[in-house]
Amino acid sequence: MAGDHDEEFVEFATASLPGLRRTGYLMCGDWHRAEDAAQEALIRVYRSWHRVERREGLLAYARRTTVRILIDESRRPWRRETPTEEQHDAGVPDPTVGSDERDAMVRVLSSLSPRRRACVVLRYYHDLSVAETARALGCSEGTVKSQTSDALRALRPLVGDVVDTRSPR
Amino acid sequence: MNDLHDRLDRAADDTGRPVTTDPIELLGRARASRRRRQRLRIGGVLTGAAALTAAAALAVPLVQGDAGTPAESDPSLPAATGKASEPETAGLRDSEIVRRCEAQLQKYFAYPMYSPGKWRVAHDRQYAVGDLVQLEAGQFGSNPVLCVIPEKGQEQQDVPFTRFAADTSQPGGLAELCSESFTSLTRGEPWVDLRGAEVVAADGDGDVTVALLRLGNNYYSCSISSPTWDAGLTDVSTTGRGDIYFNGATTGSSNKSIVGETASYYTGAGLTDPLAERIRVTFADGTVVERPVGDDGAYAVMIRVPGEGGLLDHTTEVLGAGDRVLAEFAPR
Repeated sequence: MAGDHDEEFVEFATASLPGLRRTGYLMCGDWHRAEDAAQEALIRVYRSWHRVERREGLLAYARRTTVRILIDESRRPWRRETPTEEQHDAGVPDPTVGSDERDAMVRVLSSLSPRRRACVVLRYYHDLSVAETARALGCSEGTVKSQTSDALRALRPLVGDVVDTRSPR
Repeated sequence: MNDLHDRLDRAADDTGRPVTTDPIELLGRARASRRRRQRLRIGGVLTGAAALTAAAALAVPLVQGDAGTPAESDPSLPAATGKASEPETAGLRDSEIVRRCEAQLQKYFAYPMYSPGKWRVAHDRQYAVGDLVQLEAGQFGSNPVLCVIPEKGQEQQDVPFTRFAADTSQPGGLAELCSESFTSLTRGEPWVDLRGAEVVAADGDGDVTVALLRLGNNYYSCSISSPTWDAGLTDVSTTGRGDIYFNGATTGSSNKSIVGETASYYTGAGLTDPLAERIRVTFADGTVVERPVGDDGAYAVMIRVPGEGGLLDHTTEVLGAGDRVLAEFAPR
Protein backbone atom coordinates (compact mmCIF):
# COMPACT_ATOMS: atom_id res chain seq x y z
CA MET A 1 0.00 0.00 0.00
CA ALA A 2 1.43 3.32 -0.99
CA GLY A 3 1.54 5.77 1.91
CA ASP A 4 -0.80 8.72 1.71
CA HIS A 5 2.04 11.06 2.59
CA ASP A 6 4.74 9.83 0.23
CA GLU A 7 4.90 13.03 -1.73
CA GLU A 8 5.04 15.12 1.42
CA PHE A 9 7.76 12.88 2.77
CA VAL A 10 9.96 13.36 -0.27
CA GLU A 11 9.53 17.11 -0.03
CA PHE A 12 10.22 17.08 3.68
CA ALA A 13 13.27 14.85 3.32
CA THR A 14 14.70 17.02 0.55
CA ALA A 15 14.24 20.16 2.59
CA SER A 16 15.36 18.86 5.97
CA LEU A 17 18.25 16.55 5.15
CA PRO A 18 20.97 19.24 4.91
CA GLY A 19 20.06 20.69 8.30
CA LEU A 20 19.76 17.29 9.95
CA ARG A 21 23.11 16.33 8.52
CA ARG A 22 24.73 19.47 9.92
CA THR A 23 23.28 18.67 13.34
CA GLY A 24 24.59 15.15 13.03
CA TYR A 25 28.01 16.40 12.01
CA LEU A 26 28.30 18.50 15.15
CA MET A 27 27.36 15.38 17.11
CA CYS A 28 29.84 12.98 15.51
CA GLY A 29 32.36 14.97 13.43
CA ASP A 30 31.83 12.71 10.43
CA TRP A 31 29.73 13.76 7.46
CA HIS A 32 28.96 10.20 6.37
CA ARG A 33 27.77 9.05 9.77
CA ALA A 34 25.82 12.26 10.10
CA GLU A 35 24.01 11.60 6.84
CA ASP A 36 23.33 8.00 7.82
CA ALA A 37 21.79 9.18 11.09
CA ALA A 38 19.70 11.78 9.28
CA GLN A 39 18.42 9.10 6.90
CA GLU A 40 17.47 6.80 9.76
CA ALA A 41 15.72 9.66 11.54
CA LEU A 42 13.71 10.42 8.42
CA ILE A 43 12.71 6.78 8.07
CA ARG A 44 11.39 6.89 11.62
CA VAL A 45 9.53 10.08 10.80
CA TYR A 46 7.87 8.29 7.88
CA ARG A 47 6.82 5.37 10.05
CA SER A 48 5.01 7.64 12.49
CA TRP A 49 4.15 10.47 10.12
CA HIS A 50 0.65 11.40 11.23
CA ARG A 51 1.32 10.99 14.92
CA VAL A 52 4.52 13.03 14.79
CA GLU A 53 2.96 15.71 12.60
CA ARG A 54 0.01 16.05 14.94
CA ARG A 55 1.94 16.11 18.19
CA GLU A 56 5.34 17.59 17.83
CA GLY A 57 6.14 18.70 14.35
CA LEU A 58 8.14 16.75 11.84
CA LEU A 59 11.35 18.75 11.96
CA ALA A 60 11.63 18.83 15.74
CA TYR A 61 11.09 15.08 15.87
CA ALA A 62 13.58 14.42 13.08
CA ARG A 63 16.23 16.62 14.68
CA ARG A 64 15.80 15.04 18.09
CA THR A 65 15.87 11.58 16.62
CA THR A 66 19.07 12.30 14.71
CA VAL A 67 20.74 13.34 17.96
CA ARG A 68 19.40 10.33 19.82
CA ILE A 69 20.56 7.92 17.16
CA LEU A 70 24.09 9.25 17.38
CA ILE A 71 24.09 9.14 21.17
CA ASP A 72 22.87 5.57 21.17
CA GLU A 73 25.31 4.60 18.44
CA SER A 74 28.22 5.98 20.43
CA ARG A 75 27.43 3.55 23.24
CA ARG A 76 28.00 0.52 21.07
CA PRO A 77 31.43 -0.98 21.36
CA TRP A 78 31.99 -1.24 17.63
CA ARG A 79 31.32 2.47 17.38
CA ARG A 80 33.12 3.43 20.56
CA GLU A 81 34.27 6.95 20.13
CA THR A 82 37.85 7.98 20.26
CA PRO A 83 38.33 11.67 19.80
CA THR A 84 40.86 11.77 17.05
CA GLU A 85 41.52 14.33 14.41
CA GLU A 86 40.85 11.77 11.71
CA GLN A 87 37.23 11.53 12.66
CA HIS A 88 36.26 14.77 11.05
CA ASP A 89 37.19 16.44 7.85
CA ALA A 90 37.61 20.08 7.24
CA GLY A 91 35.60 20.42 4.07
CA VAL A 92 36.18 22.98 1.39
CA PRO A 93 37.75 26.14 2.74
CA ASP A 94 35.35 28.94 3.40
CA PRO A 95 36.73 32.35 2.44
CA THR A 96 35.35 33.95 5.57
CA VAL A 97 36.38 31.40 8.13
CA GLY A 98 39.63 29.60 8.71
CA SER A 99 39.33 25.84 8.55
CA ASP A 100 41.51 25.72 11.65
CA GLU A 101 38.74 27.27 13.65
CA ARG A 102 36.19 24.82 12.29
CA ASP A 103 38.50 21.94 13.02
CA ALA A 104 39.17 23.16 16.50
CA MET A 105 35.49 23.43 17.32
CA VAL A 106 34.70 19.97 16.00
CA ARG A 107 37.70 18.54 17.80
CA VAL A 108 36.63 20.04 21.12
CA LEU A 109 33.09 18.80 20.60
CA SER A 110 34.45 15.33 19.87
CA SER A 111 36.23 15.34 23.21
CA LEU A 112 32.93 15.72 25.06
CA SER A 113 30.72 12.83 26.04
CA PRO A 114 27.84 12.36 23.58
CA ARG A 115 25.25 13.67 26.02
CA ARG A 116 27.23 16.79 26.82
CA ARG A 117 27.77 17.33 23.12
CA ALA A 118 24.05 16.95 22.53
CA CYS A 119 23.33 19.53 25.22
CA VAL A 120 25.63 22.02 23.51
CA VAL A 121 24.21 21.33 20.05
CA LEU A 122 20.57 21.53 21.15
CA ARG A 123 21.01 24.49 23.49
CA TYR A 124 23.40 26.64 21.48
CA TYR A 125 23.06 25.54 17.87
CA HIS A 126 19.30 25.00 17.87
CA ASP A 127 18.56 27.43 20.68
CA LEU A 128 16.34 25.06 22.61
CA SER A 129 15.50 25.89 26.20
CA VAL A 130 16.65 23.77 29.14
CA ALA A 131 13.19 22.21 29.35
CA GLU A 132 13.04 21.49 25.63
CA THR A 133 16.52 19.98 25.71
CA ALA A 134 15.58 17.80 28.68
CA ARG A 135 12.53 16.51 26.86
CA ALA A 136 14.53 15.91 23.71
CA LEU A 137 17.16 13.90 25.56
CA GLY A 138 14.77 12.17 27.93
CA CYS A 139 16.47 13.41 31.08
CA SER A 140 15.85 15.91 33.85
CA GLU A 141 16.39 19.64 33.50
CA GLY A 142 19.00 19.40 36.24
CA THR A 143 20.94 16.92 34.18
CA VAL A 144 20.84 19.24 31.18
CA LYS A 145 22.11 22.13 33.28
CA SER A 146 24.96 20.16 34.79
CA GLN A 147 25.95 18.54 31.49
CA THR A 148 25.84 21.88 29.70
CA SER A 149 27.91 23.50 32.42
CA ASP A 150 30.53 20.78 32.17
CA ALA A 151 30.57 21.08 28.41
CA LEU A 152 30.98 24.84 28.45
CA ARG A 153 33.87 24.45 30.86
CA ALA A 154 35.58 22.23 28.31
CA LEU A 155 34.79 24.67 25.51
CA ARG A 156 36.03 27.70 27.41
CA PRO A 157 39.59 27.66 26.05
CA LEU A 158 38.16 27.88 22.57
CA VAL A 159 35.17 30.15 22.92
CA GLY A 160 35.76 31.93 26.22
CA ASP A 161 33.05 32.38 28.81
CA VAL A 162 29.65 31.77 27.32
CA VAL A 163 27.03 34.06 28.72
CA ASP A 164 23.59 32.57 28.43
CA THR A 165 21.29 35.48 27.76
CA ARG A 166 18.22 33.34 27.17
CA SER A 167 15.50 32.58 29.64
CA PRO A 168 15.81 29.07 31.11
CA ARG A 169 12.04 28.61 30.58
CA MET B 1 27.28 38.23 24.32
CA ASN B 2 28.69 34.89 23.28
CA ASP B 3 29.26 33.71 19.76
CA LEU B 4 28.99 30.01 20.42
CA HIS B 5 26.01 29.70 18.12
CA ASP B 6 27.93 31.35 15.29
CA ARG B 7 30.94 29.16 15.87
CA LEU B 8 28.84 26.03 15.83
CA ASP B 9 27.17 27.26 12.69
CA ARG B 10 30.53 27.77 11.03
CA ALA B 11 31.81 24.41 12.26
CA ALA B 12 28.85 22.73 10.56
CA ASP B 13 29.43 24.54 7.29
CA ASP B 14 28.80 21.98 4.56
CA THR B 15 29.91 24.09 1.64
CA GLY B 16 31.34 21.76 -0.97
CA ARG B 17 29.83 18.69 0.66
CA PRO B 18 26.55 18.07 -1.10
CA VAL B 19 24.00 15.69 0.36
CA THR B 20 24.27 12.35 -1.42
CA THR B 21 20.96 10.89 -0.31
CA ASP B 22 18.33 10.36 -3.00
CA PRO B 23 14.97 11.20 -1.34
CA ILE B 24 13.10 8.82 -3.66
CA GLU B 25 15.39 5.95 -2.70
CA LEU B 26 14.99 6.95 0.94
CA LEU B 27 11.21 6.80 0.52
CA GLY B 28 11.53 3.22 -0.69
CA ARG B 29 13.55 2.29 2.37
CA ALA B 30 11.11 4.05 4.65
CA ARG B 31 8.16 2.21 3.16
CA ALA B 32 9.94 -1.12 3.47
CA SER B 33 10.78 -0.34 7.07
CA ARG B 34 7.16 0.43 7.85
CA ARG B 35 6.00 -2.82 6.26
CA ARG B 36 8.51 -4.80 8.32
CA ARG B 37 7.34 -3.11 11.49
CA GLN B 38 3.69 -3.77 10.70
CA ARG B 39 4.45 -7.46 10.19
CA LEU B 40 6.34 -7.49 13.48
CA ARG B 41 3.35 -5.99 15.31
CA ILE B 42 0.98 -8.58 13.91
CA GLY B 43 3.36 -11.35 14.88
CA GLY B 44 3.76 -9.83 18.32
CA VAL B 45 0.03 -9.90 18.96
CA LEU B 46 -0.28 -13.51 17.91
CA THR B 47 2.59 -14.67 20.05
CA GLY B 48 1.97 -12.34 22.99
CA ALA B 49 0.21 -14.83 25.22
CA ALA B 50 2.82 -17.50 24.64
CA ALA B 51 5.60 -15.04 25.27
CA LEU B 52 4.06 -13.99 28.56
CA THR B 53 4.08 -17.56 29.73
CA ALA B 54 7.65 -18.02 28.58
CA ALA B 55 8.67 -14.83 30.32
CA ALA B 56 7.38 -16.14 33.60
CA ALA B 57 9.22 -19.42 33.24
CA LEU B 58 12.51 -17.94 32.14
CA ALA B 59 12.57 -15.10 34.61
CA VAL B 60 12.14 -17.26 37.67
CA PRO B 61 15.83 -17.43 38.55
CA LEU B 62 16.00 -13.65 38.54
CA VAL B 63 12.61 -12.52 39.66
CA GLN B 64 10.72 -14.83 41.93
CA GLY B 65 6.97 -15.02 41.61
CA ASP B 66 4.18 -15.64 39.19
CA ALA B 67 3.71 -13.74 36.01
CA GLY B 68 1.08 -11.38 34.92
CA THR B 69 -0.96 -10.87 38.06
CA PRO B 70 -0.26 -8.27 40.71
CA ALA B 71 0.56 -9.93 44.00
CA GLU B 72 -0.86 -7.34 46.32
CA SER B 73 -3.54 -5.82 44.18
CA ASP B 74 -6.69 -4.76 45.92
CA PRO B 75 -9.56 -6.74 44.39
CA SER B 76 -11.76 -3.70 44.76
CA LEU B 77 -9.52 -1.78 42.39
CA PRO B 78 -9.37 -2.12 38.64
CA ALA B 79 -6.65 -4.64 37.93
CA ALA B 80 -4.01 -3.79 35.33
CA THR B 81 -3.52 -7.30 34.12
CA GLY B 82 -3.98 -6.64 30.46
CA LYS B 83 -7.17 -8.72 30.61
CA ALA B 84 -10.48 -7.09 29.99
CA SER B 85 -13.35 -7.36 32.35
CA GLU B 86 -16.75 -7.97 30.87
CA PRO B 87 -18.68 -6.75 29.06
CA GLU B 88 -16.20 -4.27 27.50
CA THR B 89 -13.62 -6.69 26.20
CA ALA B 90 -11.60 -4.45 23.91
CA GLY B 91 -11.52 -1.53 21.59
CA LEU B 92 -12.25 1.45 23.83
CA ARG B 93 -11.92 4.65 21.87
CA ASP B 94 -9.15 7.02 22.90
CA SER B 95 -11.57 9.76 23.79
CA GLU B 96 -13.52 7.39 26.03
CA ILE B 97 -10.33 6.24 27.76
CA VAL B 98 -9.36 9.85 28.48
CA ARG B 99 -12.85 10.60 29.78
CA ARG B 100 -12.86 7.64 32.14
CA CYS B 101 -9.37 8.46 33.42
CA GLU B 102 -10.01 12.13 34.16
CA ALA B 103 -10.99 11.57 37.79
CA GLN B 104 -7.90 9.45 38.41
CA LEU B 105 -5.66 12.19 37.05
CA GLN B 106 -6.65 14.75 39.68
CA LYS B 107 -4.26 13.32 42.25
CA TYR B 108 -1.31 14.05 39.97
CA PHE B 109 -1.88 17.78 40.02
CA ALA B 110 -0.68 18.07 43.60
CA TYR B 111 2.81 17.55 42.19
CA PRO B 112 4.75 20.17 40.22
CA MET B 113 5.62 17.76 37.40
CA TYR B 114 2.00 17.56 36.33
CA SER B 115 -0.55 20.06 35.19
CA PRO B 116 -4.04 19.78 33.73
CA GLY B 117 -4.07 19.66 30.00
CA LYS B 118 -5.52 18.11 26.91
CA TRP B 119 -4.72 14.46 27.42
CA ARG B 120 -4.41 11.79 24.78
CA VAL B 121 -3.58 8.11 24.76
CA ALA B 122 0.17 7.75 24.27
CA HIS B 123 0.39 4.47 22.38
CA ASP B 124 -1.28 2.88 19.38
CA ARG B 125 -2.86 -0.30 20.71
CA GLN B 126 -6.21 -1.66 21.78
CA TYR B 127 -7.19 -1.02 25.39
CA ALA B 128 -9.86 -2.62 27.55
CA VAL B 129 -11.20 -2.05 31.05
CA GLY B 130 -8.53 -2.83 33.63
CA ASP B 131 -5.65 -2.08 31.31
CA LEU B 132 -2.86 0.24 32.33
CA VAL B 133 -2.66 3.20 29.96
CA GLN B 134 -0.28 6.10 29.64
CA LEU B 135 -1.74 9.48 28.81
CA GLU B 136 0.39 12.36 27.64
CA ALA B 137 -0.19 16.06 27.27
CA GLY B 138 2.18 16.93 24.47
CA GLN B 139 5.85 17.48 24.03
CA PHE B 140 6.27 20.41 26.36
CA GLY B 141 3.26 20.00 28.62
CA SER B 142 2.83 17.98 31.77
CA ASN B 143 4.77 14.81 32.42
CA PRO B 144 2.89 11.73 31.17
CA VAL B 145 0.50 10.04 33.61
CA LEU B 146 -0.68 6.49 34.18
CA CYS B 147 -4.26 5.37 34.61
CA VAL B 148 -6.00 2.04 35.12
CA ILE B 149 -9.03 2.18 32.85
CA PRO B 150 -12.12 1.90 35.05
CA GLU B 151 -15.42 0.34 34.15
CA LYS B 152 -18.15 2.67 33.08
CA GLY B 153 -19.75 4.09 36.21
CA GLN B 154 -16.65 3.42 38.32
CA GLU B 155 -14.69 6.46 37.18
CA GLN B 156 -14.56 8.03 40.65
CA GLN B 157 -12.91 5.00 42.23
CA ASP B 158 -9.46 6.02 43.36
CA VAL B 159 -6.36 4.21 42.16
CA PRO B 160 -3.42 5.01 44.47
CA PHE B 161 0.05 5.77 43.17
CA THR B 162 1.26 2.55 44.77
CA ARG B 163 -0.66 0.75 42.03
CA PHE B 164 2.04 1.95 39.62
CA ALA B 165 5.01 0.77 41.68
CA ALA B 166 7.29 -1.62 39.84
CA ASP B 167 7.45 -5.07 41.40
CA THR B 168 10.31 -7.32 40.35
CA SER B 169 8.45 -10.38 41.62
CA GLN B 170 5.71 -9.79 39.03
CA PRO B 171 7.37 -9.98 35.61
CA GLY B 172 4.10 -9.72 33.71
CA GLY B 173 3.04 -6.58 35.54
CA LEU B 174 6.54 -5.14 35.27
CA ALA B 175 6.62 -5.68 31.51
CA GLU B 176 3.24 -3.99 31.18
CA LEU B 177 4.41 -1.05 33.29
CA CYS B 178 7.54 -0.72 31.16
CA SER B 179 5.50 -0.97 28.00
CA GLU B 180 3.19 1.86 28.98
CA SER B 181 6.03 3.98 30.40
CA PHE B 182 7.86 3.83 27.08
CA THR B 183 7.70 7.45 26.00
CA SER B 184 8.43 7.54 22.32
CA LEU B 185 8.12 11.31 22.19
CA THR B 186 11.14 11.92 24.38
CA ARG B 187 13.23 8.99 23.30
CA GLY B 188 12.91 9.49 19.58
CA GLU B 189 12.23 5.80 19.15
CA PRO B 190 9.00 4.29 17.88
CA TRP B 191 6.97 2.77 20.68
CA VAL B 192 7.24 -0.98 21.10
CA ASP B 193 4.58 -3.03 22.87
CA LEU B 194 6.62 -4.74 25.59
CA ARG B 195 3.77 -6.54 27.35
CA GLY B 196 4.97 -9.83 26.01
CA ALA B 197 8.63 -9.19 26.77
CA GLU B 198 10.72 -11.44 28.95
CA VAL B 199 12.19 -9.89 32.10
CA VAL B 200 15.79 -11.05 31.84
CA ALA B 201 17.20 -9.17 34.82
CA ALA B 202 15.78 -6.84 37.44
CA ASP B 203 16.98 -4.82 40.40
CA GLY B 204 15.27 -2.31 42.64
CA ASP B 205 13.57 -1.58 45.89
CA GLY B 206 10.09 -0.38 45.06
CA ASP B 207 11.01 3.30 44.86
CA VAL B 208 13.25 2.80 41.87
CA THR B 209 13.36 -0.35 39.77
CA VAL B 210 15.42 -1.26 36.74
CA ALA B 211 14.80 -4.17 34.40
CA LEU B 212 16.29 -5.62 31.26
CA LEU B 213 13.59 -6.86 28.90
CA ARG B 214 13.96 -9.03 25.82
CA LEU B 215 11.48 -9.09 22.98
CA GLY B 216 12.57 -11.23 20.05
CA ASN B 217 16.18 -10.35 19.41
CA ASN B 218 15.87 -6.88 20.89
CA TYR B 219 16.68 -5.74 24.40
CA TYR B 220 15.14 -2.87 26.31
CA SER B 221 16.29 -1.06 29.42
CA CYS B 222 13.43 -0.08 31.70
CA SER B 223 13.88 2.22 34.67
CA ILE B 224 10.80 3.05 36.74
CA SER B 225 10.46 5.45 39.64
CA SER B 226 7.32 6.47 41.48
CA PRO B 227 5.05 8.92 39.66
CA THR B 228 5.35 11.14 42.73
CA TRP B 229 9.09 11.49 42.24
CA ASP B 230 10.53 14.40 40.33
CA ALA B 231 13.92 12.76 39.96
CA GLY B 232 13.26 11.84 36.36
CA LEU B 233 14.41 8.23 36.53
CA THR B 234 11.60 6.69 34.54
CA ASP B 235 12.98 5.81 31.14
CA VAL B 236 12.50 2.96 28.68
CA SER B 237 14.73 2.57 25.65
CA THR B 238 16.46 0.08 23.45
CA THR B 239 19.75 -1.28 24.74
CA GLY B 240 22.28 -3.90 23.83
CA ARG B 241 25.78 -5.14 24.50
CA GLY B 242 28.23 -2.36 25.12
CA ASP B 243 29.85 -0.02 27.58
CA ILE B 244 28.22 0.46 30.95
CA TYR B 245 27.18 3.97 31.82
CA PHE B 246 24.50 4.69 34.40
CA ASN B 247 21.77 7.26 34.33
CA GLY B 248 21.90 9.34 37.45
CA ALA B 249 19.44 11.38 39.46
CA THR B 250 19.36 13.00 42.86
CA THR B 251 16.63 13.44 45.44
CA GLY B 252 16.22 15.49 48.61
CA SER B 253 15.57 19.14 49.32
CA SER B 254 19.23 20.06 49.00
CA ASN B 255 19.05 18.77 45.45
CA LYS B 256 15.90 20.79 44.79
CA SER B 257 13.80 17.66 44.68
CA ILE B 258 10.42 17.17 46.33
CA VAL B 259 11.43 13.66 47.41
CA GLY B 260 12.23 13.65 51.11
CA GLU B 261 15.30 11.44 51.26
CA THR B 262 18.57 12.99 50.16
CA ALA B 263 20.35 10.48 47.97
CA SER B 264 21.73 9.86 44.52
CA TYR B 265 20.55 7.07 42.26
CA TYR B 266 22.29 5.23 39.43
CA THR B 267 20.46 2.98 37.04
CA GLY B 268 21.37 0.91 34.01
CA ALA B 269 20.51 -2.31 32.22
CA GLY B 270 21.95 -4.07 29.23
CA LEU B 271 24.38 -6.75 28.19
CA THR B 272 28.04 -6.85 29.06
CA ASP B 273 30.79 -9.42 28.58
CA PRO B 274 29.21 -12.92 28.44
CA LEU B 275 31.92 -14.12 30.83
CA ALA B 276 31.04 -11.51 33.43
CA GLU B 277 29.89 -12.65 36.85
CA ARG B 278 29.57 -9.37 38.72
CA ILE B 279 29.56 -5.63 38.23
CA ARG B 280 31.39 -3.56 40.83
CA VAL B 281 30.79 0.17 41.13
CA THR B 282 33.22 2.25 43.20
CA PHE B 283 32.03 5.73 44.08
CA ALA B 284 34.18 8.75 44.90
CA ASP B 285 32.96 8.74 48.52
CA GLY B 286 34.32 5.24 49.00
CA THR B 287 31.04 3.40 48.61
CA VAL B 288 31.51 0.11 46.77
CA VAL B 289 28.51 -1.77 45.40
CA GLU B 290 28.40 -5.08 43.57
CA ARG B 291 25.62 -6.64 41.55
CA PRO B 292 25.46 -10.09 39.94
CA VAL B 293 25.48 -10.53 36.17
CA GLY B 294 23.15 -13.10 34.64
CA ASP B 295 23.47 -15.40 31.67
CA ASP B 296 25.09 -13.98 28.56
CA GLY B 297 26.15 -10.85 30.42
CA ALA B 298 22.64 -9.62 31.22
CA TYR B 299 22.51 -7.06 33.99
CA ALA B 300 20.13 -4.63 35.65
CA VAL B 301 21.57 -2.32 38.27
CA MET B 302 19.92 0.17 40.62
CA ILE B 303 22.14 1.77 43.24
CA ARG B 304 21.06 4.21 45.91
CA VAL B 305 23.79 6.17 47.66
CA PRO B 306 22.36 8.12 50.63
CA GLY B 307 23.71 11.56 51.41
CA GLU B 308 24.31 14.95 49.92
CA GLY B 309 26.78 15.97 47.30
CA GLY B 310 24.84 15.26 44.16
CA LEU B 311 25.88 12.65 41.65
CA LEU B 312 29.16 11.01 42.53
CA ASP B 313 32.00 10.19 40.20
CA HIS B 314 32.35 6.45 39.95
CA THR B 315 34.19 3.68 38.22
CA THR B 316 32.45 0.57 36.98
CA GLU B 317 34.30 -2.74 36.71
CA VAL B 318 33.03 -5.85 35.01
CA LEU B 319 34.40 -8.85 36.88
CA GLY B 320 34.75 -12.40 35.65
CA ALA B 321 35.81 -15.58 37.41
CA GLY B 322 38.42 -15.05 40.08
CA ASP B 323 37.70 -11.31 40.17
CA ARG B 324 39.41 -10.85 36.84
CA VAL B 325 38.58 -7.39 35.52
CA LEU B 326 37.09 -7.84 32.06
CA ALA B 327 36.29 -4.20 31.45
CA GLU B 328 36.36 -0.90 33.26
CA PHE B 329 34.38 2.25 32.59
CA ALA B 330 34.55 5.73 34.02
CA PRO B 331 32.25 8.59 33.03
CA ARG B 332 33.90 11.07 30.72
